[in-house]
Amino acid sequence: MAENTNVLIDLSNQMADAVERVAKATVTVNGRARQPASGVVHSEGCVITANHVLERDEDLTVEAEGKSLAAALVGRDPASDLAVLKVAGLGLAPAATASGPARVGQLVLAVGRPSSHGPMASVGVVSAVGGPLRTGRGLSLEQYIRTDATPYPGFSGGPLVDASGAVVGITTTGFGSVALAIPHGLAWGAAKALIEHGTPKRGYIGISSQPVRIPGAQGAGREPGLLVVHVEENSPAHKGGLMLGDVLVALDGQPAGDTDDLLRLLSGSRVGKTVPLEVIRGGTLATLEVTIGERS
Amino acid sequence: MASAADVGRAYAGPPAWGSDRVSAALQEMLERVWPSVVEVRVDGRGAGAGVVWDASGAIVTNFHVVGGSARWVEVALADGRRLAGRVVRRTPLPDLALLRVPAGDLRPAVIGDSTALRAGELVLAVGHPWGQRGAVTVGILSAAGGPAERESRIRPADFIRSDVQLAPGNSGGPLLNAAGQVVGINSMIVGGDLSVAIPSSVVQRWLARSRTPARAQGEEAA
Repeated sequence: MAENTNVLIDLSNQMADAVERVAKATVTVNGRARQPASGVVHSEGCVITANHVLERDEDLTVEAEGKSLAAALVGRDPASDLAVLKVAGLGLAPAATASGPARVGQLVLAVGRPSSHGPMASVGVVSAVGGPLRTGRGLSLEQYIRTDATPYPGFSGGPLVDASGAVVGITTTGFGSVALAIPHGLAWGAAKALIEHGTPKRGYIGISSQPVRIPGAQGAGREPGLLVVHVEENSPAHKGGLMLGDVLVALDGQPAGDTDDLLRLLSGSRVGKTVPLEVIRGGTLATLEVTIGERS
Repeated sequence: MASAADVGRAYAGPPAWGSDRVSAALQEMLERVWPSVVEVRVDGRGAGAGVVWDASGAIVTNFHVVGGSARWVEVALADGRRLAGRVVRRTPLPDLALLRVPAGDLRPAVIGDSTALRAGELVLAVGHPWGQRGAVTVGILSAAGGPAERESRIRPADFIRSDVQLAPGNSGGPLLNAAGQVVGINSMIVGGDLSVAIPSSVVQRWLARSRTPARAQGEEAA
């Protein structure tokens, strides 16, 4: 056979190997009335799935290697449409994750286990990497992967993998009809928070505020801001030098025009990070540095 | 052949400009395959595709391409010849028809082993979607077998599901593996985006049966 054809056979084998690898860490999740969904083994006995496919909190099961196992809900993270299940006796090794972020144009495979008849897969590329995406009141998904790989019914909660079978993201159709994937870094971080606290990580800076409109010239093209009416003693905001009367206009480069914006910006992976805070103080724009605290 | 050890191989950076080996390989493979793909026309209009199964004029297509009554169809070869094709046998289940054309110099397709297919492997469809002759779409095998669709009486092992894009005019055409071998006959689309093909192993069993007198209901020996 011509050498050129071997390139195709190599590619074909590699994709089939990738599917086979991740299929060992991909399970069926039964948490809704009709179509079962998929899940990925995150760590010993813990499965990541999509939040929207769990229509109930109890009577959840996971199917793996022909067995049906009872699953307990560990927690939900609606902002990123993720949930974690604890499955006793699962005995599957965790899925491997990609070493870097998704790249536009990268070959990806969407894998799911929508039924007991073995894994299913579709192929595509990373079409775009976007974000943040508003995913609910006060909720946002910092980053998402868009792909043209077909999300067959029951693929939500399943892995999107690269050509080596390493997880690039978790597939979801929970944010509309297009298939998105939650990048593996965000997904694994969210799962860790759920496993440790039972709830998503929530950040705080320790202020009370109210929305105000900023007069024309001072606003410098910006719309509304948040007037700081209280700064908690020893809070991250206090340590960062925020003062009563400051008007907060942006956090980490994102506009913070109302309290919903601020809540969104304080969630997820910003917790623990030092970020720039733009405020209007005495009519001029100033930038402070604040380390986002974690609300317990 | 790639081994499991090759899969995690580090990415060595982009190749030199103009060295797209994957595309070159695809083109080379398609040059070999195209002569074995025919167009089947019924009552003067394009109805679907067909696969040259042997050099002596046997062509496989779908039952739903030729329909239940036509005894003769027109077969347009890739080289431009148009031949009268006699419908030798047809069954609605599996959705197959065997045609015979008066030619002894046809280029038969290489038939692959559909029972060895793995989910995730590369597959290509060749056909005439919306009348576009010899069009190619690429995807992967989504599942090697699986639950029969609700309305279907087909047994799970009797069809191949893939994510290649099919359209009217692909029916009866080949689903190919990475080696350019026919592993299925494209047959239908489920739910708008899942393509279903009849495995080559089913086609071969069906052809073997057609050498014995047709007995089953709905079958016809002409």
